[in-house]
Parts: sequence; structure tokens; C-alpha cells
Amino acid sequence: MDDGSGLQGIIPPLASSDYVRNNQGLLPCIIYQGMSGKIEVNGTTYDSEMLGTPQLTEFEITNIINYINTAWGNDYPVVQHKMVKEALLKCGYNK
Amino acid sequence: MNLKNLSFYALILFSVIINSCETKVNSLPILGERDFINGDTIYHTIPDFSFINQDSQIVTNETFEGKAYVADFFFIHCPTICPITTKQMLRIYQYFENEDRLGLIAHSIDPVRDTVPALKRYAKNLGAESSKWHFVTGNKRDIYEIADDYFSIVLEDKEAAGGFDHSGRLILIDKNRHIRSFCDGTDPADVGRFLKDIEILLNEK
Repeated sequence: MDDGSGLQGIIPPLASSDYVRNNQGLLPCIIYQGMSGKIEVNGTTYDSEMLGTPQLTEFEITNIINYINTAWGNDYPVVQHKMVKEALLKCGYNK
Repeated sequence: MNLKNLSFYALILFSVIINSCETKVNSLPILGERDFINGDTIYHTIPDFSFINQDSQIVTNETFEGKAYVADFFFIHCPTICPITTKQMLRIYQYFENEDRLGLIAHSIDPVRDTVPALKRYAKNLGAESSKWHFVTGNKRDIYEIADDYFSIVLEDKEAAGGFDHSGRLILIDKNRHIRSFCDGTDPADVGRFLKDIEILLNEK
């Protein structure tokens, strides 16, 4: 949603999210493939399924991560396209 | 009639007009098509329905006997519209948490994946009390047909995100099965106006 707060109990927040802060290397594949299973974000456990967006390119995914890292008060470092590309190649990206 | 009596009656008339002006503003119209039969107006009415909720309880029109309710259509794996509309439904749920005269019903348009256990988990994660906010599944055709009666569009569409195309409308039904208001559940400002409409309806009763 447009304030990064998610949907209580179902969709974890992106704003001030410890999971986002601590798992930067996983973000490219999460965005590309989606994810499921239990995760803990800011002390709350979530167990829903996130759909992937396989139609996105490595450049779009880089931009999305950088948007998340700097929006809603987040101040995580900007990621480089090279890191994103390398991570994506490991989870089946082949554009 | 002398001047004194005339002034007296004018004063009475004036007060009556002022008082009726105040009450006229706060009333919601009945929406939808209407027929006129033998001098009676037949308003658009929600037909009989029977679905099953997250507790495996049958939910019908009788479940909302004497109450108003808000209806919407969603599916659990919805990536785009539903998270936003469900967030607004949650806003309505919390705003009227202690109001027994209002219920909520969310119809799943993906009955294959949204089974009773899946709906139970979803509702529980959200923190929704099943006696107040029903998450229902049922016969797919029945759900898709009744969406029409709720002025909502629901289509299965492989090209659409998540596989279903649907409007994010939230609809307000009164205790007589008439539609009294609706809003765009993806627009928080429109939902704010909708919240006020719900209050007007509840005050009408």
C-alpha cells in the first residue's frame, strides 16, 4: 500500500521493516519469484504467500529495491544493479 | 383574523419549516432500478443467498436480520486491489467494532483456493471476529451472480493479476435488503465518505 505499512496480520510492512533492513541480498529473488512460509517482521510472524513478478527486468527490480530502501522514512543503502543481477541469476532469471 | 393571530400562526409555521429542514438532510436514497407496480414502488433488492463462512457456518440473509451490512468481493491470493480494499474493510470493522447493528461479509471469488480453512486462517490473521465479519465461500456461480446484485464486477481472467478481474467496491445494505450506498474501496477518501453514510443509515433506524 502507499504508506508502506502492509495489512495487519497478512502483509508485513516495508516501512521501518527489520526484515527488509537485514535481508537486502534476498530481496531481488523475493520480488522476482515471490515467497511463502513463516517470516518474522518487527516482532510479528507472518505466514502468507507473496506472488512473484517474473515479468520485471533486473533494472526494474533494482529501482524497486532502491525505492523501498528510501521511502517512508527508510534510510537503507542504495543497491547496485550488479548485486541485483548476480542474485537474480541464482534464482532462475535469464533475460 | 387579526394581526396578532396571524403573527402567531406565522411563527408556528416558521418553526415547523425550520425543524423539518434539519431532518431532511440526513437520509440515504435507495439505490438501483425500481419498478412501479399497481402504485407500489418495488426497489432493487438483494436476493436470497446461502454461503458458508470461515467457521463452516451457513450464512444467509437471516444472518443479518435487523442489521445493516457492508459487502465486498475478494480473493486471498489477490496481489493488487484486495489488500487495499480489505484494509479499508478493516477500517470499517474497527470503526464500528462495538456497533451490533452492522455486519460485514467478504465473498471469495476464488472458491477453489479459498477453502473454509484458508478463509479461517486469513480472517484469524487479520484479527476479524467471525460473528461480525464473515468471510464466505460457496457455489461459484451463485457468488458471481450475486455480485451483479451488489453492483460489483467479477470475472475470471487469466490475463488479470491473480487470475480474476473485479471492482473494489464496498456496498452498504440496509435491513430491508436495499442498497443505500457504495464506494471505491481503493480510495480512502471515498471510504471516509462511506463511513459517514453508514452512520447516517444507522441513525435512520
